[in-house]
Amino acid sequence: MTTLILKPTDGCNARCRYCSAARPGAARRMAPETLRRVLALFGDWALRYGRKELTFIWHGGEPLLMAGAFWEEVHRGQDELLRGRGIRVENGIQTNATLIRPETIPMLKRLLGDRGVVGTSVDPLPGIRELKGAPDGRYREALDASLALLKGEGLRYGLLYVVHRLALQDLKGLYRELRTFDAGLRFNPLYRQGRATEGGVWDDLGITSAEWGRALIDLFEAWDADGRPDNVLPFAPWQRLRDGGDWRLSCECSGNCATSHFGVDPDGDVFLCGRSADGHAFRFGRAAELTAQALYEHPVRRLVANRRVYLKQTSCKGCPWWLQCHGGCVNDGVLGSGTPFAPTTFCEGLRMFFGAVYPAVGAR
Amino acid sequence: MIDLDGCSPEDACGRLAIFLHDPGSTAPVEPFATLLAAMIHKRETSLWELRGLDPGPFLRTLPRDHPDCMVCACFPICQGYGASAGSCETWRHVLTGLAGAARELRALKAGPTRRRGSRVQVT
Repeated sequence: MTTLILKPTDGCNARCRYCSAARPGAARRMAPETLRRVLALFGDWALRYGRKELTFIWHGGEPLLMAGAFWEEVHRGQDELLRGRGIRVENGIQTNATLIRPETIPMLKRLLGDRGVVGTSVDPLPGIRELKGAPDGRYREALDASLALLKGEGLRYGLLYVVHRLALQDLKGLYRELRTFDAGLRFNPLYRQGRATEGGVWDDLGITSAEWGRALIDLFEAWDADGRPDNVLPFAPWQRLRDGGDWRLSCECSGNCATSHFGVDPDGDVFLCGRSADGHAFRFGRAAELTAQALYEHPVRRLVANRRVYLKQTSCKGCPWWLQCHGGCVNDGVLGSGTPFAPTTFCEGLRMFFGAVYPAVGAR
Repeated sequence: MIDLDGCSPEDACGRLAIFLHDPGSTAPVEPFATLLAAMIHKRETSLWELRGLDPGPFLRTLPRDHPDCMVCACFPICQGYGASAGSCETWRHVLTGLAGAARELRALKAGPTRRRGSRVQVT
């Protein structure tokens, strides 16, 4: 199955301090003809290389800034260019959720169907995630109202928490607070990308690899005390791997992202994934000028696939945690050392984490 | 065992064609047989391993010294061996030919039909 992280706009109504996708003056919107070219391209991909299955994650920027007419085009295009060709389609959306209103719900229900999830980011600490042109605190008010609305409407949602320096003091308390939302949960480290590259931001919020390792240990202990729920990442997939050899790891650890993921920006430019679209790295080209075969044979895809083989023979040779990590995210490799062919910026922290807790992962 | 490092691409392709398609060729011809079996079963192997060599020192500088290797379809098995031995083109022809044969054989194995005249029988 292929996951397509599609960014219909890079505009956003929020002003999150560390946003990895932020670009100055970003306000592009995907045109309907671009959308159709993207759908046609990945329809061809799904038929030839993707087992006739596509999962769309509508991302941004803030995707709910797109007008209702755009979402009508999405439904029409997916029906004509994908489902009409026998391709199974699922949709999810990653949104800051502050624009969800009662009138948004029918569109979301139609888009998400029975299986789709609304993903959103949350940070209980003030001043981190805020709305443009609004005083601090409004973002959280809007988010709480939206999540209540989603829950009332029976729509599933999941939360992403970005671990930054200010959160390190009490991660176990933060874990317990986030679990009160009664939703799936994922913890990511803050990446030095986008707005987080700005000096003051990184100085205040940036974390080291070792701090990420210690954060993972703290969060693991909280997850363990919580009964190890199956909807908390990154721990649950590692547990499933240990329990029964379930290989469905998160994209950054799976080692097969060169085939499983793509990112598309508002201009229809195709990238390796959403993060690389944000960083304008690992670009395949414009959808209108690509074919499925060109994607498959593209040097970018080969480079990322070969990276796994290369790391296994060099930096990662003999690493006891290879199966849990597969060399990590190629974007983190570049962030850490400027080359994809080196350990990622979080390698040390992951080794520390796995060494400390992995023997316990299998023992309930 | 054929020393492919000393073969021209044309010579290597000729020998590969005999291995793959000549019904009179019955003995396993190395390194073709081992590489083909690894590809069919998607088993990890490398040309370094076949030669009993440690690629470590050469691999470390490969991205800098031979960037083309890092985007080559043959890298998962070649791992820069062809560049180190000066036989890159020969190995690219051989590995590409073997990969095509492996795809064909996997498809045959998945389906009910058997290709007539092929030396390799899929069971």
